[in-house]
Amino acid sequence: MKRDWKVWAPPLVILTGAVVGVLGAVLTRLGNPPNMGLCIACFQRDIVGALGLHRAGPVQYLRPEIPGLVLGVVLAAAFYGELKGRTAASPALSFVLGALVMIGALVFLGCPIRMVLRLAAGDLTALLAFAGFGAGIWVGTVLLRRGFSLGRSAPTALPPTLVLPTLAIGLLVLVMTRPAFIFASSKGPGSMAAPVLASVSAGVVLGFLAQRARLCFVGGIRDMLLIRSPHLLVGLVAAVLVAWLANLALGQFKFGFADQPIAHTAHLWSFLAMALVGLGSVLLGGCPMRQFVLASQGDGGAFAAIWGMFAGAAVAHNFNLAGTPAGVPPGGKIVVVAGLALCLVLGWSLREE
Amino acid sequence: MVTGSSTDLLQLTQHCGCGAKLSAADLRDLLSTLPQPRDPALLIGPHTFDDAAVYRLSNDCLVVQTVDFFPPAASEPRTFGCIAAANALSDIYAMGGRPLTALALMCLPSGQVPLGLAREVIEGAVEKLAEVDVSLVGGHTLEDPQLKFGLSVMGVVEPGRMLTNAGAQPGDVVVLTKPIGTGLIITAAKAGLATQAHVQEANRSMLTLNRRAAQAALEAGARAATDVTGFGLLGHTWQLAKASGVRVRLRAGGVPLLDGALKFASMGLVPAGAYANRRSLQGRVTIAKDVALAWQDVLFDPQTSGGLLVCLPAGRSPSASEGLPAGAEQKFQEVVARQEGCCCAVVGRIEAGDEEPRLIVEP
Repeated sequence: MKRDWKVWAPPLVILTGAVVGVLGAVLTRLGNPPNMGLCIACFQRDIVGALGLHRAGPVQYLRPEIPGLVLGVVLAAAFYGELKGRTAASPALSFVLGALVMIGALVFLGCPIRMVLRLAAGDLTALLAFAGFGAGIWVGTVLLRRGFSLGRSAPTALPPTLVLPTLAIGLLVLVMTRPAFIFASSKGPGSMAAPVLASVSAGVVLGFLAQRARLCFVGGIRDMLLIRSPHLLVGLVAAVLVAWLANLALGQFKFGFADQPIAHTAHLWSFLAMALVGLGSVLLGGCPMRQFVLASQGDGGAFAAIWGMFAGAAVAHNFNLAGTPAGVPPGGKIVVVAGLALCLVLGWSLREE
Repeated sequence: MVTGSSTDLLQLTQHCGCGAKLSAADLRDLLSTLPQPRDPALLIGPHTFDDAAVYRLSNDCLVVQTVDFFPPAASEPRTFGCIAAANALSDIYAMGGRPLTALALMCLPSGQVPLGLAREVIEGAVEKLAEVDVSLVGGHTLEDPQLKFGLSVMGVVEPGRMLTNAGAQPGDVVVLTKPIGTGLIITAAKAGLATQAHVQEANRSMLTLNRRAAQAALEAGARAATDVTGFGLLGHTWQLAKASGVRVRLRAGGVPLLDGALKFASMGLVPAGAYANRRSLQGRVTIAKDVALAWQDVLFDPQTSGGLLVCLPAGRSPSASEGLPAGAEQKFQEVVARQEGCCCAVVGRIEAGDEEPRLIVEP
């Protein structure tokens, strides 16, 4: 009897995960930083730097992948009638949680996508980060079971949903025209970039697929813990496997802990930082990429969250919180611990009646 | 949050209630090679996907037979037993029949589930059967890694008062007698995210028998009916449309939902059965772009002990042009909507058309 295996291995989710893996490897080959073919956190940080909102010289570049992602989501959502405005239930809290998620990601040096890509490239420092990520998500599910909720949102008019795609187009115009007021790194990760067309195309494809598949790396682990459903988790697994194979094929695989590109060996802080990313993302309702997808299709809460992430990136580099290959600065450690505590307080105290 | 009994049955199972059913696509595949029964006395058999089989014993005696069993649909054993019984009886009522006897089916992991707990499940079923004077006359038990329980029910139906999937006519109004979303609520309860209120409302709905709804449907001149269970509202609506050779235009906004169902769907806490139901209906249903994804998940949500989907002839009076005929509306609403856990919601209309997609879902 033919099993309906597609229930447990949904093709679109697997395809999207596989595309993350392929794009992650290929964009590195085309010029993006090593093990950073795709990274929502790093790319937001680079955009913030290019706009002069922080002055960390090595990480300033208008990453076209992000506006491409936004436009890809908007295309998919518009075509399938899912471009719908919704108000933010708690915009301030979404903003703060977004900022904390970003700071956690920059302390570790990567969002969940980059964590997966690092793992798939043999960077074992991402293993402990993955463990922390899972631990943070587990704590998040405990808080969800306790009744945590940011509150209810409501439908709203369409025009506000057009703000983000308009800004994305504006950003692409700046990418094309390169005006003098835009900062651009001459060395470091910000100076490494794939061709603009490749980056934009990758972002559009990823955005389109991620919108249709509802892919979320945090959601995959969360659903496995809550309802034992692997529906989204298979996307994460596909990303790891395909990226690993692609890296092997492209000669981008280096196995070990030491001397990994744009990574540190402060394992405890990788664990705690990604725990913050996992916990904060559960409280927000999705990983950084999912926040962009939701924001691009009109969700006000996610909109607040991604601006919190942009702000978090600026804060991280203006106040020397972000990790470097040399390690994690004291400020970063303090904020990660404080961020975890704040997430626990918020998660414990905010319950839906 | 819901705190279950010392043994929360929902934590013993991966799939809950009718969400554990084989998908419609798999079922079609399973039955595809079986020969058609040739006994002329068999009036309704397995190939029309009706709610029960109907066999003519004599010109005035038609026997109705059905079976339903599944993993726990509730945390408490007694409630699980009651729901399983209500679900099994529903198939008889959906045929316009009267249940008479029931046989219990139980798969029991005796190392995990003590006999006392299993006894409570059966007692719950007996309690529900007693509401309608149905006797539990026997059954069968098996040692099995996964707890499952249900009933095979036998009843009778009067010739001329039999309801099937196959009688809907263009112009008929489609009415649903219970809100949907039990699969999502049970999944959320399993995850510890459903509140006591969510669970109580879902249980109330699942525990309500479809007997009065079926009687009211017959008295209102229903032409077709089915009960909504594991294939979800859309799956069972499609089956009715297919059997009747018609098209159904369903209005998503008119479908009553259990409180919390849409919220849990928006969170992505969608049971696997909903994805299976969606896949089974690929190419068979057209959903308008304005119907949000979370709403679609609820429409595909596998139901346990759901309501009846009834096709009533449309009214002739101007005031009833969009709803039920005046007399039928009054009777139907009086009987059905007053029952706890029930409603009387006009969710769609039957149109002519015997090709796919035969189910159109509008906002």
